[in-house]
Amino acid sequence: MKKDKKNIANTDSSAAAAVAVPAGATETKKEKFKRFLRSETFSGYLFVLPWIIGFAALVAYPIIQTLIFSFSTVSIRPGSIETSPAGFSNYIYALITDTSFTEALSEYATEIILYVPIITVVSLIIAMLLNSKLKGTGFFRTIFFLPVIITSGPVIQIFIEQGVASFPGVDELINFEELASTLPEFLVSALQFLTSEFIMILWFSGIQILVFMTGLQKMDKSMYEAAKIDGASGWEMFWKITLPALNPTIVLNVVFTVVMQSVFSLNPIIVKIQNDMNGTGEGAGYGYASAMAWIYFAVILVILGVAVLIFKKHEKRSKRL
Amino acid sequence: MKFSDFFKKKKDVSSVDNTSATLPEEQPDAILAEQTEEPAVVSAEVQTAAAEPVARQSEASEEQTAAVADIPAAEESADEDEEEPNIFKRALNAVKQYFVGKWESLKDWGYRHFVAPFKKEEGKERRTFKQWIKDVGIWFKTLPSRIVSWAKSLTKDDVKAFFLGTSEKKGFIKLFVSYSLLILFGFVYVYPMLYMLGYSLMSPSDVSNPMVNYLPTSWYTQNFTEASQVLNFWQTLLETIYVSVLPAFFQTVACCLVAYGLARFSFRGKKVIFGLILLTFIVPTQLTMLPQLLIYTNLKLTDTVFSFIIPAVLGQGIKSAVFILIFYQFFRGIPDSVVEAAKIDGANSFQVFYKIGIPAAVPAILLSFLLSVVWYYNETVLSSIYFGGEITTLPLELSKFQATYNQLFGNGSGDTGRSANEAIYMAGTLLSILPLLVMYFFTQKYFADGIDKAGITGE
Repeated sequence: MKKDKKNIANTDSSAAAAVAVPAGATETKKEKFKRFLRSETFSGYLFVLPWIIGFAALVAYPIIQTLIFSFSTVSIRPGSIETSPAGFSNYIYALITDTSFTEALSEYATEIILYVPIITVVSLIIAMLLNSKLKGTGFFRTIFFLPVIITSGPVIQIFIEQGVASFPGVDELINFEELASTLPEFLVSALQFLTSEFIMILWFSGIQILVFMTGLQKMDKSMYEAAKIDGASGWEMFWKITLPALNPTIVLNVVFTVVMQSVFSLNPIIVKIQNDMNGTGEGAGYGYASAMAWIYFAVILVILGVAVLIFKKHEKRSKRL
Repeated sequence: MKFSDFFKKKKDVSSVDNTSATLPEEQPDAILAEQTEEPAVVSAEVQTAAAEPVARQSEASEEQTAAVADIPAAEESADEDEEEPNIFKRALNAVKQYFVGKWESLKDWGYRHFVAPFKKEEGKERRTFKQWIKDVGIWFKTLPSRIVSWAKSLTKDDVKAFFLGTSEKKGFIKLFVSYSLLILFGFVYVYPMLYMLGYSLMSPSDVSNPMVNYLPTSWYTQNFTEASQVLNFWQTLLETIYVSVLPAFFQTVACCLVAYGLARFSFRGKKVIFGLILLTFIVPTQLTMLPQLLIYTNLKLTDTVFSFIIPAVLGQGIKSAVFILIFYQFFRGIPDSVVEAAKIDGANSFQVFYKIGIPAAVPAILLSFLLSVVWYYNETVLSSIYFGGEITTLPLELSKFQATYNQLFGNGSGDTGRSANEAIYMAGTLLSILPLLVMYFFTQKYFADGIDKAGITGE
């Protein structure tokens, strides 16, 4: 009892003597624990705990298991899964033997290279238009955000199938065969892709528009006034003030676009992996599918890294100027 | 009030009116008496009412107007006495009141514009209708000359200001370009929807007719009835709502909690957790799908909505990372002083979260819930695997639309049958996103507001 009282007095005084002084060795384990219960750290962990459990059980463990699967041949039977080690054969098969996978990868890369700049530029233009205090922008905002609720679903596939993804007649305007004789094949196929899916590309920019709009609204207005007094035109102000200030927003949008396109369920690679998982693809087998998924994951990481690097570098340069 | 009463009252009024009119002059009375259909009644009334002259007349006319105005109201009250006022009637009343209000304001407007100007005011000369007409005439007469003088007074700068704008006002050219761009992009955005709507209303003959392109020749709704049969619309819709709203709710709650923990507390490993959250955003679902399915199978959770709810509760639902980031931005925006004050008043962490955090994050909660519903609604890969056909959703039904159609409506092998199918397929597509569209048009304000206020700008 006496000891307890002493301890209480001790903790009280230590609390009074600010955080810099540790509670001291006299504190018992029980009280240390009690103090921990009341501390910020504990509350913080308590709030995040469900996520940590979820991450461990539903993300980390599955990812590792998929990694193991990717190095083995997996046969799924009702109720059980049998694995036998296969070394790197799955990876080798995916990257060298199975041309459909590498084809899908290159298709995906072209898609990303085309999508990212178009979506970024278009959504920036629309965001600036919507932000310019015109009458009726509320109505247009409703329209531009409409695709957000549709693009995540299978309806997009139907649109593309039905040829609604582009305006009729655009294909006929451009003579692709003639172009193919003068331009490299890569450019022609990219152009063909653009004309056939142009509306769909625009449709993927709903959230990006809103992110840009918030970025624009946060801009410091005194900068524009100062520039105006100095006689800057709107065009100059856009390049010298708006764009540099928006750089972090642009990076965010680029990352968002890349990720959304990468995990989009109609993405050629996702379709291919899905088919192999169900055993309908060429290579078939879950082990092979997980190897492809891992390669794909690595590719996504590389693309994201490159995208962020490009824009971060630009940011540094614009700061120096 | 009954119909017979109605006539009785009317009769009374007319007769009284007539009698009062008879007294001062003789001749008009004779004419009136001829015009009335019941001369016998009139003559009888004349004798009784002869004693009271002009005073009665005003009373009678008042009574008449009152009676006419009372008729609908009295009828309604009688109906209400007979049975309980139901919601339909209340709605009707509300509508009536709305129009009465409109009528009143219209009357007021009319009075202010057409009656008040001609009323005599103190210190002002009475403005006659003639004068008013004259003024209007002068205004129109001088219009051309005034336009000419205005045009003459225009300087080069004025014209420039009109087209290019000034510092306060936007120029015509800029407005024109802005609006045409907005309309162009807007059209591009809605074009597929409009096309789908037009196509889905086409009858088989329209579909096979190459002259009919966008607008159907007639309002043909058969496609929609057939498509809703194929989709088993109402039943499937209920199931879809069940598997999208429930997980969305749990996902919103979980993400809100996790984001609050990250935003308001400092603890070791926070940065690591943040990095891992971003990682979960990037990881393709295919990497985690099968092991997760195995876990759910072992726990016997497949074929139930729990295979969606459990990851949602643990903060690993569809695109949970996005929601956590949105909430994080909101909670970061709460001023520290508010939280400190609450703590001094003796609130513990959870109370602070409940009393300060949640109210501050209402827009984010709405946004997250709605987006979450949309993403769960549209999910087809996971739902086809986890639910294994036990629970079906509208997008899933849509993906096997053709097969179900052939099953329901016999052989779809004929050429005309196939082309007719496309219009029906479009109708089915439209039906499958219709619930989302309806939800969006009622809640679109919150979508934009949430992102607006979160201020996610990449810091």
